[in-house]
Amino acid sequence: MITDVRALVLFRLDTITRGRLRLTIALVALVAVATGAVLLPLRARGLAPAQEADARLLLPAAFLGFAVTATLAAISSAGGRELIVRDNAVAYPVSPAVDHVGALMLSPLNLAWLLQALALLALTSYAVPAGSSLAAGLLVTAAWVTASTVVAQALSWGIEWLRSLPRGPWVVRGVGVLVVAVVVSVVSTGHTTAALHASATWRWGLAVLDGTDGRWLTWAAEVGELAALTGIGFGAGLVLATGLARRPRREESRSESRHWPRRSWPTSDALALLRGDRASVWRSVPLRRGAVILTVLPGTVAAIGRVPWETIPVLPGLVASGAALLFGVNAWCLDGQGAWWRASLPVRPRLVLAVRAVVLLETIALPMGVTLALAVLRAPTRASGAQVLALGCAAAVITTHVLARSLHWSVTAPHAADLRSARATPAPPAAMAGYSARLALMTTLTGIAFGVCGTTGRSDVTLALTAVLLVLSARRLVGVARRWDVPEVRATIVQTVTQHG
Amino acid sequence: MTHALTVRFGDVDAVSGLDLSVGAGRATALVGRNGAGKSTTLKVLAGVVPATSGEVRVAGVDVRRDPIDAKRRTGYCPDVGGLVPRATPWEHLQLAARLRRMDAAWPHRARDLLDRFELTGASDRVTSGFSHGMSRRMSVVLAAFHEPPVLLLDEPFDGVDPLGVDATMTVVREAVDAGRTVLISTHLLELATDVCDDAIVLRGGQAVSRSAADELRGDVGRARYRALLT
Repeated sequence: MITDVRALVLFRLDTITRGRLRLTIALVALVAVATGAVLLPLRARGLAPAQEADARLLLPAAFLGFAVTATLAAISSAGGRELIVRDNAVAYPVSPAVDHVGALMLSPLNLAWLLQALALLALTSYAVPAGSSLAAGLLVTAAWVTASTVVAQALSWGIEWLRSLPRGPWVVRGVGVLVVAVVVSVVSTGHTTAALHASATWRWGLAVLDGTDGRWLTWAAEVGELAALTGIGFGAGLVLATGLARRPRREESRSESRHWPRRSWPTSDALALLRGDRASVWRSVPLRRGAVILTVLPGTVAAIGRVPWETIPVLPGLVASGAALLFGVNAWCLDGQGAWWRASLPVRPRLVLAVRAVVLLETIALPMGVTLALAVLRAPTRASGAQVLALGCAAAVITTHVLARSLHWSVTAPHAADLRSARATPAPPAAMAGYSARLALMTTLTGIAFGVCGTTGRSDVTLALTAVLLVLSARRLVGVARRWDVPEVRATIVQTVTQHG
Repeated sequence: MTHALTVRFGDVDAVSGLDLSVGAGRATALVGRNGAGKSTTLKVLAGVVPATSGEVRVAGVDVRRDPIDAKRRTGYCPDVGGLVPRATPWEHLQLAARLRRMDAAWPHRARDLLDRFELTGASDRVTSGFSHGMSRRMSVVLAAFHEPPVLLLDEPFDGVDPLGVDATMTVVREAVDAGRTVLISTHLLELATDVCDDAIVLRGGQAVSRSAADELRGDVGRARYRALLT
């Protein structure tokens, strides 16, 4: 198994023809950030004892937050990322065990996972009292990160296995609704703190401090428990992954074997193209599933958590980035091997580009609209006019930015991708990590800036910032259109996206 | 149709100074080894890959100067795939009918072709579930659908069953009888010589022979063909 995993990892690395330098820089930056996350809080220790005590109390909630993130990341990607696409691996003896280990290895390439893990390291470093053993605390955190990831992976295999049963998708939806209902009832009845106290994360979260307090036996027992949990989770994941590999891909098969109703005659070229592009999105299992999760999940979390108005402007960036990562960062992959035929049709290239942009815009706007509506309705306070303006501007600026960025990448760095499997992504895992990091950084900073403008009542700054950022995105969109006008560029894109399969 | 056509990918000349002229009312086979430049030539004629240099005309229209008009006059079956994975055959045909400005009788033509290529039962299923042979047949249907003056078929027989081959041959003969131009790129020499009037052998991106297709038939023709490949 180890030999197979090693071979696939080396194969993956060999296929990175572009951006090797960028990958190296990203890895160095990651190590630097991780080191900083541990070392920087050390310098702040002892400065504010009350805040350090608060940080210790936050640890269990942060542990739970990481576990939830890891679980959602694995479940929403239908079992995590693949070392090799299943359709490509069909001729080779790639076992489910290799797939399982590969998915675990690629877990850190999810930005939400990575940021939460770094935040957990920083919090641990800050919470451990000065003069105590930081290594003991960090070891518990690392053990928790590993155990959560492994158990989350096993859970995601389990859910995919359930989905593969005849009425499985309905069972999974039912379980999902039940979980949301339980969380809503716990929060709405004011039992959040009691539930956190009762959860296992309370004990393991505080285990970070056991070593530092000299309770070494307790500490060792808790680390041992986490190691055992990791082992059990790994074994369960292995069994479930093997079971799943033997099941038919029911959801994909259903989509491919059903008869789709015929539509009326399209009244314009744009509408004809639009229908085709929309169908390519909504008939793809991973895109449909991702779009539904993005529409439901952030809004539900915002509604339950009652996000304050100061923070709501950050939400558009979160949702828009997620939507762009569904297919927007490699928008031409929707055409798959049909790209050559599409290119042979007598239609202005600009119209094709405009229609693809509209479909991407819809994919961003729908979940963003739902999320913001729920967040605004459930916000704990009434908003000022400046805050409403700031939120509207943030949504417009971030949408335009993500749209322009995604189309720019689609034109300058296309990838061959088949969005058939539920686990498929529009680009290789490392490229996806790069896209998500860059989108998250820019959109989060933009959201924070608008949040500050709204809170401080500076509508003049809000409008000025909006104008500047919209102009920048418009310039990028014009650049994309000019590139797309060049026949050689279009031919290169088509050549690349049709190489799959 | 092409004069001094050169297509360069990086440092590689896929097509190198190709002069090609195919008359109306004739079917011409484009044959040669892998990498000879057959598919690239068809892609340039279809207007989906630009020529690095040289002149390219289809049905009298300059492909670089007026690509939309040139695309209206061609029907192209790509060498691989050729179908949008999550669209149905009927949706492919409807989109083509709309963009190619076909008249109200297009559904009749669509149903007729789907029937002849035995795709009626699958006409409302997405093509990602199609076998290779089904995809090839559907690609030929899409190329021939609007009865273009120039029909460009790249490996139309690859992996297709005998009935599908017959249907493709019928479509080619109908096009030729109607005075249209047909250019077929294929490795299947016997099928090519069965359906085509002329044969052009490409090697290293250049035409090394042009003859009547009959001259490449039988043992003598095959031996001659092999000699031209090396």
